[in-house]
Amino acid sequence: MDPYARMKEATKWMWGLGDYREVATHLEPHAQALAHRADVRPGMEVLDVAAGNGNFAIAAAERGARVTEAAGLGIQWQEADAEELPFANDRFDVVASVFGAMFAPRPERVAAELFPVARPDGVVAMANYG
Amino acid sequence: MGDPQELRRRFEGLASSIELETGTVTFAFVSPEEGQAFWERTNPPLMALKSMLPADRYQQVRSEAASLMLKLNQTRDGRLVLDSPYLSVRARVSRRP
Repeated sequence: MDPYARMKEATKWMWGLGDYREVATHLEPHAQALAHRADVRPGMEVLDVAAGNGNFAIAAAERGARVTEAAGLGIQWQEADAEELPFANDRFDVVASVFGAMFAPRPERVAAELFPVARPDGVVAMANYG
Repeated sequence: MGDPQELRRRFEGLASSIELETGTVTFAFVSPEEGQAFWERTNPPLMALKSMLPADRYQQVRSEAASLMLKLNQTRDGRLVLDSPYLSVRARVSRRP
């Protein structure tokens, strides 16, 4: 098995152990701040990568966007690999990740994936720990 | 991708503009004990270690984690307050040729 595939399986297992909801309450204001910074507006199409509990997805949906990720707010969840996003190029107005995509094993691959699925002049927004 | 220089390097050729801001996530607890219990209850890497390490080795990790949290504590009033600085980025996607 590809060592990166093994690492991703192990990482998926590890992150599945915790109760992320409790941590997510601490991150929610920062997701809302990033949605504001990204200037998410009604009718925009938004992708939240490595969404966790969907803090950014929910913040974007509350601002009227159509979001690929959650339920009840016009949000569609889809499990995918952040290093191989299964979306058409130029699809999203905003592509974001709040303390999520930074954990992928090869950040340079993630960076290279985030931009093509965003439309030209669209926005890629991230919050990453230092 | 929380380092400005590294982020600019990785986004080079992809973004027409990059705007950076710093932020801080603050985790505050009424006591160090409550803080430690929170992380043991919610933090997947710590939970993975607990499930994989021998009990005595895990206790050592737990003790070292408690010392580290006290060292990083932002207050001396009996609470545990931990600050996690982060980088917020807004990048404008380049027009493609």
